[in-house]
Amino acid sequence: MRRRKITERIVQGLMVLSLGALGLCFLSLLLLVVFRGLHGLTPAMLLETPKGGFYLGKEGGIANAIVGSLLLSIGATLLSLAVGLPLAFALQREYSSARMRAATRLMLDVLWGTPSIVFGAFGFVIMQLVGLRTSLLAGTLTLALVILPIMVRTMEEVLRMIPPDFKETVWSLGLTRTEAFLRVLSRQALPGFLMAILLAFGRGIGDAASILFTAGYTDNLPSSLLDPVASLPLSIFFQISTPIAEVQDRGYASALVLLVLVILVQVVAFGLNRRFSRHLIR
Amino acid sequence: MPLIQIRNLNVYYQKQQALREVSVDIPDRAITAVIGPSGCGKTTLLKSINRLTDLGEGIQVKGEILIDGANVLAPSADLLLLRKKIGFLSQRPFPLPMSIRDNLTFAPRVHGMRPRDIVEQIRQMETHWPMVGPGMVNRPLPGRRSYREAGLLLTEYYLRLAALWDEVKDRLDSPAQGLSVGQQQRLSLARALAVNPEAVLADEPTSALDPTSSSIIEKQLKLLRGRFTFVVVTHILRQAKRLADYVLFLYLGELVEHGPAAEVFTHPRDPRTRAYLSGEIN
Amino acid sequence: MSQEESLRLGQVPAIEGTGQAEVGSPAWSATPSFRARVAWDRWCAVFFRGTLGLVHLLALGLLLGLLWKSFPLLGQLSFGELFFSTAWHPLKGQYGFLAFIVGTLGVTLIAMGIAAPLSLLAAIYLSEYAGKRTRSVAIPFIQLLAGIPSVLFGLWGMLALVPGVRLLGTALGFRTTGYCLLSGGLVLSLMVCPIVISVAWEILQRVPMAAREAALSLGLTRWETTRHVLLKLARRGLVVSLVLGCSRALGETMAVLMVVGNVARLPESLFSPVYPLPSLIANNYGEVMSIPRFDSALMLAALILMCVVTAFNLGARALLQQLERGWRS
Repeated sequence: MRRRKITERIVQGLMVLSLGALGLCFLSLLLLVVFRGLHGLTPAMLLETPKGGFYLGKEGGIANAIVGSLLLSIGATLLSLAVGLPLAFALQREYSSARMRAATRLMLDVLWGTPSIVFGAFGFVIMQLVGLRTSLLAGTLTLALVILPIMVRTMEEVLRMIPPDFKETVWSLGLTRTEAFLRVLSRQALPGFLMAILLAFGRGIGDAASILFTAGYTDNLPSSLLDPVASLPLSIFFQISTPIAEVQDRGYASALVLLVLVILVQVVAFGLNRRFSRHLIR
Repeated sequence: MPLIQIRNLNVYYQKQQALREVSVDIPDRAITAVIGPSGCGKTTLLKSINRLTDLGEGIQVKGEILIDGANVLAPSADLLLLRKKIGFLSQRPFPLPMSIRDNLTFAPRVHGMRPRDIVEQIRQMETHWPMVGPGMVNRPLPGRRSYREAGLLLTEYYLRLAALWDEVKDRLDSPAQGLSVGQQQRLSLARALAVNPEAVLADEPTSALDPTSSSIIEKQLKLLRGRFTFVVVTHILRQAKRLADYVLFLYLGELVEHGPAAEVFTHPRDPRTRAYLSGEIN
Repeated sequence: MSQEESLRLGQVPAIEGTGQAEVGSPAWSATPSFRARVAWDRWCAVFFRGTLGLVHLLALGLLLGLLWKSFPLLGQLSFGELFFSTAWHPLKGQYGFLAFIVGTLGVTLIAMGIAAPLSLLAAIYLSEYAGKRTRSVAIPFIQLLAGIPSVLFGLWGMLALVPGVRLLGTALGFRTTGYCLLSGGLVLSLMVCPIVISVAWEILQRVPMAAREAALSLGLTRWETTRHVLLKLARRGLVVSLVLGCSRALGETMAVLMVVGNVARLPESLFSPVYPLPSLIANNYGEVMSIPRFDSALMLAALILMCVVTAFNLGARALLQQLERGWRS
């Protein structure tokens, strides 16, 4: 009897230790970025683009990267939404056969699991094929590919969770399926959709591997879709890679900007979801 | 001193009170039936006794439950010992994910019962409360060290007690999940008895079973009551009348009336009891 | 026709049991506005279904595109030269992938070796032991962590992990800069934990409460219950969580790139630098135009990655489907 209780205690201790170790590592990550980045965070950093010699220690800021990341991510999210929302509907029982749905879900799973570097390589192939150079456009398209499966998966789950009796009630009103989905059921699905969009957006800001070859890099703000564009992750990477201390410090500040952006998006996503979910039918 | 004594038991689910000031002594070596309309706290009462209420979230249990004089609701109570002394049969049987034989031998092994303990336990049982028949005691018993043979003896004995031996004796190593519901419930009974408890709590043990299996379980309960204390929750009045030596009537969380079965069924004192027995309240 | 079929054809479902006429019969007047609504519905359906085709096109295009681009190299070098040789000299036309494959596998194995026990223990704790308060803090936190970008993990790795590993390595007698296999594995394990924990936790939650009741009421401790009953019941789902973690580890690029050394050699010890496939692709896209067949090589690397990860994901998917079927029965 005693031995069993001791075993129980030991195992419980190990579990708490595991959780604690993980928590500690993550906490140290967050604290590291915050503490080393905070003092480098000046308004100049946020509002100016890198001047000549930025990477050698001269003035400037990361506005190019911030704007670039936002543009890329917003563009990719919109593009993804344009395909993903109809796709989520198409995957419902009312629009397609079971076989088509199963096959498409299989393909979506394949896409969902594909590493973003592979998307980047693929994007590069297409760019060469079409004659496109590294640009905002190419980066947006590739990023859209990366976040599409994530967005669709969440949206589809949201639609599937609509209670079937709710659907029955809607059908009995005499609406066509599109009217039902777009006018009535969407309201039920809206919080989930918003969360899906925001989460996809957050994912897009942080992804570097897919835009590495496709968006290029530049110190300027893009003036057209065909200009190369900077991004936060890459900016961080380049700044950290220099041996100069001031540049590295700025790199941490950039990392802090990215961290804050990502956490903000997630918090807003979950917050909105909870707030709008109050009126949902369960 | 009776085995199970309940004093001022109050149970709350979040803010709702499920049991109100329940105080009663459960008679030993008899079948006590807990009757009452559904949702009136019968299962809660049962689960409080062996502290399965700990599993639920937001459940508060106040008061005293004395097993052998010691309050098991105290935070320092030995749960392992409690649950060894008091067995539990749930409404829907849940076989452990192992073979039939392992289902029976697993808990005794975990509790550290050695072959000679098992042999002694069975010998005691049969000598004082012969239920299975002289065959089991008079046969050559396994030596002191043989776990395997002791396990087999245990398996056979308790499966016989549960009236399941003949049906499964040639497939003791097959998974218990393959049994029918009625067989699984009898297995659960055997499993609960194998750790040599003093009492067994049964939560509507036959409600998920067909009539034949139900009557087998009832027959075994009546046979076993000379040795074990049973507390059986049932919503079938006729079953209570068939089985009970003692009756507890719970209505809306209150212990309205209790007493020997003959008295309560023929001369109920409380109007509510009368109403329930005559079928007015359901 | 069945209700489903009539729904799909864009018609309004007939109201059962009221004796009303079905759509299309003379007693039902099809007003122009009604016809317009049905037409609009049909067009929308076509549009929606079009996106289905798009997905198939994308997935197949991805696979075929990578295959097509790798073809030149596949045609030129033999299987042995490609996959079993460590000679990587693009200028000489030698493309032996072995070192990269070993690098990828090595980092992934170390990552899973650390992440698996830690994550499973953490998930069990959150599911079976933790109070509501702990859970309400831990679970959103874990979901938040799953969304942190790769570069930030790489940053942490460079600053916090690499120096530590360097110290450890020199203390143990190895010559190392800290940018090595071990660092890569450690950073990766941290990134993989959130996804394994969240999937494993969900799986454990789905095990019915009756299982716990049955075991606990026999007098088993919580750990005995978990070990002998819950883990057995949840085994497939837990494997799924590990497989998903593994596939994330295989494809992770930036963080690993920043700490792993990027030297195309077979590692001699945990403290040797390695060069996983994603890092190879990421580091070299600039050279792609200048050296012949280099682009093919990189595309082949991407293809290998994709095939392995897809195999893992489809395996996890198949396991999950088996699970769902089991629960429904």
